[in-house]
Amino acid sequence: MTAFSRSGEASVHDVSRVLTLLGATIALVMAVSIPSTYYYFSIGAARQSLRLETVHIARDIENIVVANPEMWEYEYVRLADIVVQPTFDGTLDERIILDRKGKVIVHSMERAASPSITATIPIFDSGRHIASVLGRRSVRKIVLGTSLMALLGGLIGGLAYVIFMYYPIRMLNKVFNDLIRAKNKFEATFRTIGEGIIAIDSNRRITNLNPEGERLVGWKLDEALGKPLEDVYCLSREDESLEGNPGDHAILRSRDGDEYCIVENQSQILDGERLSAEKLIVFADITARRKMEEQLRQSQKMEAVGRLAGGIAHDFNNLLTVITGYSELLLGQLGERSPQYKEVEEIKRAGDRARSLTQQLLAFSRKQLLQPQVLDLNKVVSLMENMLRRVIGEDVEFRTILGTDLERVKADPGQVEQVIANLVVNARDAMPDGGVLTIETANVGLGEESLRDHPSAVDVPHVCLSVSDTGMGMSADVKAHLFEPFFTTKEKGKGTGLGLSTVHGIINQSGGHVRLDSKVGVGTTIRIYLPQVEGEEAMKLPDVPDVDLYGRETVLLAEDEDIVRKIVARVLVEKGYQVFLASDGSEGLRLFEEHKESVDLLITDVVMPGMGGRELATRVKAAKPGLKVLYMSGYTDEAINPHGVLEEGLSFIQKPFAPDELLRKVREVLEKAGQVGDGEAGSR
Amino acid sequence: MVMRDSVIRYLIAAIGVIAVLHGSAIAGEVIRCSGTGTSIGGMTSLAAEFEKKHPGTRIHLFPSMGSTGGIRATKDGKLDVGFSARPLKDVEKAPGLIEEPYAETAVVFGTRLSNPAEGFRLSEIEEIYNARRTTWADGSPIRLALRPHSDSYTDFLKHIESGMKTAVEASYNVPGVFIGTTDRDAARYIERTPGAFGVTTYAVVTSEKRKIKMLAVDGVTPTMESISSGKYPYRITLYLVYRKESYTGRTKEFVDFVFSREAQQILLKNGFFPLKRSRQRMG
Repeated sequence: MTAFSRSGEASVHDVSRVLTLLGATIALVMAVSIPSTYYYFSIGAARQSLRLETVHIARDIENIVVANPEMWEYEYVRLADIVVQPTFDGTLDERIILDRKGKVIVHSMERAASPSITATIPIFDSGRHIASVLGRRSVRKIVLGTSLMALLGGLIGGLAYVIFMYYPIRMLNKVFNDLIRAKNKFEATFRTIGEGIIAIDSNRRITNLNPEGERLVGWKLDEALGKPLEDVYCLSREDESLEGNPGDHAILRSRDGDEYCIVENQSQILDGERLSAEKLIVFADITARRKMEEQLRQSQKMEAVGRLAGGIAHDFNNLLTVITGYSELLLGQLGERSPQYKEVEEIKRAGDRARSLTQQLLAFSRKQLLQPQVLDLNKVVSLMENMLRRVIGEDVEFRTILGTDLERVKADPGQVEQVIANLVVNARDAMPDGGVLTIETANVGLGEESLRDHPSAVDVPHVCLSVSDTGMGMSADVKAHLFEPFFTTKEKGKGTGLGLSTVHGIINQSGGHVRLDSKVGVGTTIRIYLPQVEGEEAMKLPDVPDVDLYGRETVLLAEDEDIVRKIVARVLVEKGYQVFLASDGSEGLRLFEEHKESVDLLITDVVMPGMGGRELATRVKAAKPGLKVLYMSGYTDEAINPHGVLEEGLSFIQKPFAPDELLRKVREVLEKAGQVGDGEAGSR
Repeated sequence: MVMRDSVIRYLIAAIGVIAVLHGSAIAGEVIRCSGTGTSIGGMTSLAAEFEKKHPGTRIHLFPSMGSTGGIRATKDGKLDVGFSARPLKDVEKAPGLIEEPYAETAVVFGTRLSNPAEGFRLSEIEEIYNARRTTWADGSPIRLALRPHSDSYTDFLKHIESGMKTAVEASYNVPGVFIGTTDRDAARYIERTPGAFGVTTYAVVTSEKRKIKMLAVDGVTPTMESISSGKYPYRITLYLVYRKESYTGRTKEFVDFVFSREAQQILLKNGFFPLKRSRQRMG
């Protein structure tokens, strides 16, 4: 484009100069030709006229000569009368009659002012040349007229010059300015467009390269100019088995060895109306897009697995509620001395493990219901420190580097604890021969890399919690599949393959993201980033209250699953509650209407055939404002909340739960000052 | 007797030869004359008379060339005697150039004989010249005949009075006006052209027997009496011009003859009023 620009400006100058010369020539020709033409014709006419007049005078004199050949020259009166005759146009010429020797015979009174023209006509007497008459006429008027014409010609010439210069050059300037503007636009586009552009000539040699092209091919424009295309623009097919245009999806290897996945288009440049052999190659770097597509595929896969897991978890939770509920009741009844106590305890433990597994399934599929609170991650880590040290063991050195003035984040504390635990366990497992495990927290901004890798990430301040080990590190292949569910490098039976995928699910659901840095033989660092929150107090992590689990209130229980309804009713009744049982929403509403005055608490499953828990709660609260409601569910789908996050103020217990958990939650709800938002939560 | 007769015869023969020889020298002389046309008519009569008296001598009267031409040609030796209707101008005067007034005549305003008009007042003549009056009493057009600017009569008219001078100068701007270069041209135009009005002289009309009616001015008709008595006031003097060195022989005789009683009678008959010879005027 530099060349184009230079030649374009030179052309403006050249054409302007030629036009100026042409205009000046035309002006000069007009300025000269008008007076010249006037002078030529005027002087010609004057000469002709003078000659004719003088001839006429000579003929008149000859008449006198004929009448008086001997003494004609003394006929002064007659001769004078002839020579003073005015011209045809009424003016007077100077006329002199001269004899053969040039002696003046008669001289008219008139004297022609200079400059003048003359005409000499001979006078004959019977064929003998006896004298001459000389006519002289002033051409001062013609000279004056010529001067005026020169002035007029100069004015007309000047005007012509101005007109000639003004319009064509103005048009020309406009055209060139448009051209330069178009060129500037093109250059700006060429420089700033997010796609690489290479221009080649008919010999496939490079004539231009834009900055994005420079970045992708790794050559500077100055270096690439004149080089064969193939030397600079090294393409290989992404998939050799594919046929078709290699540019559709190709790998571009830059001069530095970097590889980019690109799509390419070629277009021939029009030369007038014909296609020239010159070409533009436009190629876009779609590496990031391919990565995103990969991520999309991954997340779709996760979504599918999540749906499956969530569906299973729903039924499992009901079953596990029954298993763990009855195990716990049974344990209470048997006493530790009973020979069956150990067996029942194993059943309960198996139920607990199954419950944990279900929780993890829900977590990685991001289907579990979060109860986010404002958290100080330093506090969370500090509270977990003792527990974590026990988990890590003695071979591994445990360090915590907690950032000062750490900002708060908003997340479900239980889930965050699970994330930290999972990461610590993984780190420990990566260092079978010991090493250093470090948990570090810090306020950070998101790096460019994070923003690129996580398109959903927002560029706001984050809190980073990292767990590093000095273990064996991970290969590229392991890294690629790390967050996939059921992917594990551990021995069979040692891991579920859900650890990191759970971490990923929880953090993503909390609006954060996870980054992995690992080098083989050096170690691995996994960082979780959560957006900072401002102006809210970090929640004090809940201590488990030592509450009285007994109560005398009346509970209306709506649960479609018989076995769950039974165990829940039994747990409540055993602790002194009066319980009305309903197998669905409609029955629940009917029972409520019958015992409206006595009912203190509605415990309802969320998803039931017919009238669901949300509608039931809405209707009873309409009839009895201030009534406490506790939701329970084994599966937190969109019926609870489209975003999977529980609205604040809503009381909820996740199935499966142990009897004590239920009883504590019931007491918490009954003793809470009031509930808000439950009506709105069911509006969907 | 025979002897005496033969002596007488011889004597006579000798005298005759001498006379012839002498006479041939004189008799073969040609006297070249010309000048103002006013004089030509009178001089033609005088020349005839002179030639009759001096056989062998010829008076060659060239066509009229005006006073200026006559003076110049005389000065140049091309003429022996020049006729002028005005005295010499200072530029024309030269040593040995002599002018002698020999007669007077009147400048007259004339028209065709058939024109019933009898005369005008001078003021009316002014009106004719400055084209304020363009018709005769009967309504027919007045056709003015002018003389050249430099002509003696033009000059004369301009000096009659200031009004005439202005009128005469204005007359040259009248389109289609006739200018008669010589007395003869002017006289011929006046006698031939219906309604013509122009200036000529009493001498020209009389000597050349022109069919021109001389009009009265302010009631005075130019006649022998009115002119000689001075009632008709517009008179001019005519001169002879010659060189002193040519005032010999027949030329001298001719000049002297002009002032003779005989010649003056002839001149008077031709409309000239001869003047007595006074002293010679040398230029």
